[in-house]
Amino acid sequence: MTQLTQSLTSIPCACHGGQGDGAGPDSPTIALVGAPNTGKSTLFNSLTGQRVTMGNWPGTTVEVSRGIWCLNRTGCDQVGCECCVTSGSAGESDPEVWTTTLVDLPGAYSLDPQSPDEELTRALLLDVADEEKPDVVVVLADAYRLAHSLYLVSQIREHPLRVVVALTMVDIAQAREIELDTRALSKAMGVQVVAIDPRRRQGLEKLAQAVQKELHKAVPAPRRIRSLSESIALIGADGTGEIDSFALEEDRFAWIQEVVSAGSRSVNGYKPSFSDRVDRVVTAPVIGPLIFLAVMWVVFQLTTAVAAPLQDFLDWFFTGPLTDWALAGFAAIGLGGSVLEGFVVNGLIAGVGTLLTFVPLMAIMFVLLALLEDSGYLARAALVADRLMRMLGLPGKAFLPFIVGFGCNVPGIAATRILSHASQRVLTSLLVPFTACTARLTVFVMIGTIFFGPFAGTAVFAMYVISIVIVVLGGLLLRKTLWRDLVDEPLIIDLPPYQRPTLRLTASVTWLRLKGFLQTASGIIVVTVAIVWALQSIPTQPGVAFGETSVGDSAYGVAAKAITPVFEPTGFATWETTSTMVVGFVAKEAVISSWAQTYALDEPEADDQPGELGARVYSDFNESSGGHPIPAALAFMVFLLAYTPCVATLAAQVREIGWKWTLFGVAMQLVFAYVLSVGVFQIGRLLI
Amino acid sequence: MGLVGNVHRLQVKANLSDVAPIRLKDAPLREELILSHGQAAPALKRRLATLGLRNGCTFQLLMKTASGGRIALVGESRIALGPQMLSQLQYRLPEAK
Repeated sequence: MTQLTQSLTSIPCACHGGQGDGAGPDSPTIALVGAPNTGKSTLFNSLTGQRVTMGNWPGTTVEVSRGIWCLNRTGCDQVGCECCVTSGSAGESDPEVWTTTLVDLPGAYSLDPQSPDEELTRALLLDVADEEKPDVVVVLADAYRLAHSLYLVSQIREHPLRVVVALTMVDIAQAREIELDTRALSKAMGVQVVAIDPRRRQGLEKLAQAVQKELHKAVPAPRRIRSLSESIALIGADGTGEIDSFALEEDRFAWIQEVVSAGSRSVNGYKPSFSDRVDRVVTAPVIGPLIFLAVMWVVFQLTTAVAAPLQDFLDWFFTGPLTDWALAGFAAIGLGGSVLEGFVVNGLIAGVGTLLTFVPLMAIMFVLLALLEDSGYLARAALVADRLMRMLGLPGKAFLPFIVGFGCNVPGIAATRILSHASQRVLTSLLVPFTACTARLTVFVMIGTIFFGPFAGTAVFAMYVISIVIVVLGGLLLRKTLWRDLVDEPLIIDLPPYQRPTLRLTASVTWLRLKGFLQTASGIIVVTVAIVWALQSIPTQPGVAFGETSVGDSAYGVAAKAITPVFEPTGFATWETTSTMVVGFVAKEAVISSWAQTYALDEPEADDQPGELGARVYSDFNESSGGHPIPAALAFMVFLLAYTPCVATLAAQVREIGWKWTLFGVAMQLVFAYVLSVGVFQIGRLLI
Repeated sequence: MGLVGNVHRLQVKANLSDVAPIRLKDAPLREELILSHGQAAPALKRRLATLGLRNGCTFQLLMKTASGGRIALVGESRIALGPQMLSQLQYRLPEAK
């Protein structure tokens, strides 16, 4: 069971971007509960005007979000919901003006936890003190498959909680000719039942009225169920001699059957739905994987090809006009060449520029993720790729972060959010940095051109193959060591019906995720860039001013020289090369410019035309490897592929899996990179 | 109703007790089937039950999927089952009316 460290009233507020207190400690707390895909997060967004994670993928709501819901102003479409600020709380002079705290709990099929998300939902609903329990629980249920949703309702009704059932997906029920009678359902369940459509913001006022009415009532007595012993006795009396371990649950299923019979009627039997017709194609044994690969290819192309020019523009803007304006500004006020100028230009502007160049990439990635989730295709993709990913103990949908990772590791890490189990997210986040992103590609092309001539393409391709091998081996190693108890669960996926993605939902999900990335990554990236600049500016020679030292004589250069002997067994132990790897920590594509800066040469105009820089690099590798430059170059490429990812990737990792696992990942990658590069060089020099 | 439901289900079990269960991976498509959880782990049984795939329930397998799985139709829900799951579950054909 999850160690409950926070109650509903102590969860950070999702609204207004901070650690707010929701509607205040004296306000009623309303919990939204329901199975994944019932529209819970969309409803939360509609009621609070806040932006939280939403989507059409089971387990999307992996965080507990909190916001303010004004019961009397439900339907107000103001983002930020300023009306709530002026409204009172329950018990104040105007009883109709109620401000409540709305909490969006993780998706759960039942109160018998099968995942960390479900554990948390159960804990926040039941395993807290009475005063910490929600004042009203709004349980969302799919109207088109009531029986499926009512198991959770039946369990919640077994506890002393005020409950309102909100029926969603009524339009799908109508399309499938399922007739619903909310009054009969309400009578059968003993709770208020309201039909709503969160995507179109319909029925929300009725829901608010139902909740307000519920708040006036006393807490109801739990629904009585037979005890386990009674159930066992009942079954035993039948004479079969079989004691069903699910005897206790039979009562719930019987109750569900009663409710469904009382309040819904399917006019026709099974007719293939639109989703069934699409699924016949997209999940089929041969065409399904081909469609899946085509979708992944489109995702990869859009996140790289479309984002690239936008990234180039931002890079140009920050390193060109903005830097020039800043330099001119400092010169105009007499601070040209000062430490402050260096800090602003090389620290702040360079750091913010690095951060913002990722924005187009991340935005495109998040839009695509939202579309895949909201449309319902991601569930099918998980199904198609399941067998492949199962080798690593991961579900099929984990394929997506790896594919995206080959474009850029940063959105690849962010894409791990589609995984519903924390252990799967951690494992995938640790493996994604081993995928050869396009930033590394630029360095691979240059090294390949310098050392392998006409075989440069083959060398670069080999890096991609090695990348995949490292991901697989790394995954197997981690599974055999840290995740030995990672259960290889058989695949069971609740397939949501296909839906047309909505612009509002896609935009809000994208903005939420982008905002989260920027909030987490901005500090880490800017500070790291500033630190590297500062180290390159600190002189180690007496009489040299700050910012006027050469790279080799800076603190940065001295540190690089100090660690260089460690790389003797790799064949590329020169301080010029080891220092580029520190810069590569900031951004992998900066390795080439760092070399040029270190050798005091112009950066080559194209990666495949290294010119004089190529000659210097070749010469250094030849010398450091004792006449075996080819194995040393291969070892360097492998090291570059496997070692610590760039700072933006680390920032994304911190956001998704926390500092502890991020630092573990850094250490693991350094060890992997070192061992592999030593192996490549030592074996290679015997052969070449 | 709970009592009636239990007794009815157990009667169905008793009537079919002499019919050997067949692994679900060998089940025909688009035919009414009666599910038996077989030797599946309790947690999986519970997960299946909450998705509507209860022991003794009537369902259909709609289609085969890539990776060797099937999509099951139970009520209005479509549940994808992987090959490992299929090999753990069993089915019986309902009695002819």
